[in-house]
Amino acid sequence: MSITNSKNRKATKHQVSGTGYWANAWFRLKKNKGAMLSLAVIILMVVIAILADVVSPYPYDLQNADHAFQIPSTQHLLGTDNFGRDILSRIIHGSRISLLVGFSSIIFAIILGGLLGALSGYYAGKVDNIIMRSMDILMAIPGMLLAITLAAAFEPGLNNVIIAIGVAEVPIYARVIRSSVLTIKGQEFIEAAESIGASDTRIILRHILPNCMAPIIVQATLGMAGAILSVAALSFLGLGIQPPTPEWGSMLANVRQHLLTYPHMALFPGLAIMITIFALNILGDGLRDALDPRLKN
Amino acid sequence: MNENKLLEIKNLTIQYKTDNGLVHAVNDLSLSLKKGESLGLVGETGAGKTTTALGIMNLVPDPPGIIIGGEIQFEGSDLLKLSKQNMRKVRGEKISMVFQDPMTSLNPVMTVGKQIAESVRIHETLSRKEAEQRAVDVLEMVGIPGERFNEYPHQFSGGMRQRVVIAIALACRPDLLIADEPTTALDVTIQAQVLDLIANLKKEQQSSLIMITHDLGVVAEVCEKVAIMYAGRLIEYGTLDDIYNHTRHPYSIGLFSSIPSIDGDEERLRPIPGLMPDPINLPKGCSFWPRCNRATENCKRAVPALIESDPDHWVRCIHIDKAGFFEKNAVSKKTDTSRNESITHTKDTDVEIDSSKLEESLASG
Amino acid sequence: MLKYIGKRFLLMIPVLLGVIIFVFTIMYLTPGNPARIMLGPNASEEAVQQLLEEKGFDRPYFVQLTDYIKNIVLRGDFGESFQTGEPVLKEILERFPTTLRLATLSVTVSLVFGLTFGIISATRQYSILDKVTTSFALLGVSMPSFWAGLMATILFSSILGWLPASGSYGWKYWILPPLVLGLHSAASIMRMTRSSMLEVIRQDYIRTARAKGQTESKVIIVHALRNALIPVVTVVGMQFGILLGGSILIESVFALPGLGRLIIGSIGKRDRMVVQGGVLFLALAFSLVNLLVDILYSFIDPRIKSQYQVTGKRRKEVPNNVDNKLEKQESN
Repeated sequence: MSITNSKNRKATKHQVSGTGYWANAWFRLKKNKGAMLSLAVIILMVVIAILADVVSPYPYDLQNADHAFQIPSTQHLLGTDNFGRDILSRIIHGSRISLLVGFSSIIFAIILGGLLGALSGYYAGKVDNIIMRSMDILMAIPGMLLAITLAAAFEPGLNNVIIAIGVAEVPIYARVIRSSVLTIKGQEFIEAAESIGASDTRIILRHILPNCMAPIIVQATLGMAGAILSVAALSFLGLGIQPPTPEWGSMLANVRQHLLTYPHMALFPGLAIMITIFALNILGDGLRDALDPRLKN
Repeated sequence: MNENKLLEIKNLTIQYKTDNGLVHAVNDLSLSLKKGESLGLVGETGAGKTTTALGIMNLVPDPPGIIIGGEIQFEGSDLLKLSKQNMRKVRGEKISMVFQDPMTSLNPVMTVGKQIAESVRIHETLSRKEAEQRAVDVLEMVGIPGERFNEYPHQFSGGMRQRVVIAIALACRPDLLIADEPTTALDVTIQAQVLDLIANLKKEQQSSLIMITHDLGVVAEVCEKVAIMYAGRLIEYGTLDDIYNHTRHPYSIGLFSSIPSIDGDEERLRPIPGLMPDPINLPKGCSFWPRCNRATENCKRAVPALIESDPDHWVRCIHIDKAGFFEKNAVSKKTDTSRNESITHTKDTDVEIDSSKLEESLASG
Repeated sequence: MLKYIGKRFLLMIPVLLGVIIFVFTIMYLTPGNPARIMLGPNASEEAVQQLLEEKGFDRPYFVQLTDYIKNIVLRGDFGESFQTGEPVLKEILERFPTTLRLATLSVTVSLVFGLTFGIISATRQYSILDKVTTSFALLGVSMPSFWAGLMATILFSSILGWLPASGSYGWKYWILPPLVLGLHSAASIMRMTRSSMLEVIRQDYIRTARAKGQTESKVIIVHALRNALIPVVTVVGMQFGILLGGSILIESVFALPGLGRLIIGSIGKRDRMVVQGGVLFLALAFSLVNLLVDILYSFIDPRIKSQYQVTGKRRKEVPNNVDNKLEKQESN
């Protein structure tokens, strides 16, 4: 009995750190059609965002008063807005902001949250207490409200929006990583590393963090969806990206007074948000199933 | 003879559809049980014992499980053909089941008293008060003070919880009790108490019993009949005496010789080599041939039929003739005698075969 | 039980204090001279300076902070609005009923739809109904609530003409906002209920209930649901926070005079005191809801209650996962 047990444990340990684990996960993900389709959609969007200047039919800020409020036509596939700007071109350029903010704010949250979580889980005691109580404070404020507060406090602009959204996400990663660290810390190979005199930093970087990857990747994918929603919401309220920079949320904010007469102006930017978030959500669910079927968060 | 039969399973076949393929959990299984009889259903983990039990209760999880075919005759009707409604009347009232893990088989957010009373109220028209009184009585019957009626499962230890599960099963005095490894999850000291409890209550209520276990010691304690399963098939069936003292099937012999005996001759344990076959890819022919030291080419051809080697002692092995001996095998004789001694001894002193050792050898194959 | 509630309540105090300090500090860093904002751009420099001193905005950060906390704790005084000079609390209380009504109606919508479809979907896993509802839920989760609000306005006000587009002048104005906000949360609750239900349905005790001969509907309602609700309750608490955040957006879309609009409007007017007071008020509401959720939690799960019960009865092991659940629930 005991022999089989320790064999199993060894097997899982190797799985997590070895390439076999990721190959397996990729194999499982490939079988999930929805997730693969979503991945394709996201990659396509990233490509479009990078090549925005090339692929968009008009410059995003080209105003043409004669062509204002046009409904979709062959000339303007998604119509034009109140300034006669091409909506499709603005959506294409807007994807840059959404993806950039989504990605950077999550990276920000992962780095800060990861650091805090790792310290908290690894050193326990007082450090843990101080960090986690601070996280409790951040979590006591509803996320959207926290982002609004932070965005209101600073000058509106890309960097501040990224930080405002990122900070609101920090506690989530701190918690995910702390609990992963606590789980992994108890396992034998960490004791083994300690016993051969590896330094704390080395243990955290080389042994513990790679083992936290799975839950982080899943959380980050879903978190990116949330961040893209948040930036759109902030811009919608006028606290995020400021006009004339094209952003999906601020495109929606502009159309309020024309909503009932020219609904197409509201329809397409919202659809862009929805498709992006939908794809990220499906991919996130797929990744969760692929990386660890038991992982539920 | 036939009126005496409480349960008759004919050609029961149950499969599970999984991503990796079709799991052949129970294959063409036939069994019968008389009123008041207790049958031990023995086999390794994965031999299809629990699936058989769930099949009788019509509780095979679907999906992925499908009952492919067969009949389960119980008190004159085929359980597999009963309507859902009628099947519900059988469950809990006529046939009850005690599950393996008492830690998970009780609802954590409901008091134990309510869980017992529920069983009573489903099948009998009683007021809530009466049902609760019954529940208290049943609790005391299984040795739990009635005032613990209002406590939750987490306030009980494992052994006590299993008593509660037994209380639920016996609350309506069923004709047949199926106990699925009722002691496996319990401490050794508690195991004997729970077994005694089941055996006594069974006698008191005159119900029949199917005891599912991989522990030959448990079987020896409470059963009159024994059925040994391997890879979803019945491979040997007979009285306790038949199985323990006149073991025929090579697998059964292997099972017994992997148990250490207390009077320990210098003989070493002989565990069965290899593992149980993957139930998705059962070997052609006799499922046991890859591990069998008597396997011949003939074994790989077709599934052997059950042969009545002695009156009412059935064996599924082509090497057994009607007289119950291997056609040509000198080695087995020796095994037979040495083992017989140990079993006789066991029965006399009531010292049980060390089940944990057996499990270990079964687990490691 | 009381001990449990008391403990949770006490745990809330330092967190709320931390929230006050955090929000105050963030808003303190906001650029803009409060006296200048009060007096407007045309006021003289001396007048600004005088008002600054009069109101104490020139004092050191730490003094202002302790003063602010003291006033809140001792007198429930959240300061005065820079714009109107009215007490912030008064302005908040004028607007709060609208937000409360929106939140309550939305929670009701989300619970009714989320639980119902979650249960139906779980009990008929893989059926067409299940696939349709889960797809809708995923769409719902992915839809920005403010955009859904805009689309609903287009459909119901502009195209169909059934309901008014914005404002709050009668019951007709209170149909779309809670539906939009509530259905958004309902999607999350539905997903959680479904997965929790699916997990519970596979548990051994459900098999025990079936083995008793219990009818399938009672197995679901009596045995499965209460167990499945345990994680759902946590999500509902979490959703309430998301809902409060969403109410800010929805109030904007439908022009409802709620606390969210007050906050957004005050941000535009650089009225720091109102923003800070409003945010604190919402955070307090969120914390209270989470406290309620915790209490509700312990009613659903007797294992938590008994951890805090001091009775003479013998109590054996409390499963470890209860601690985990507590931990999980605190995290939200």
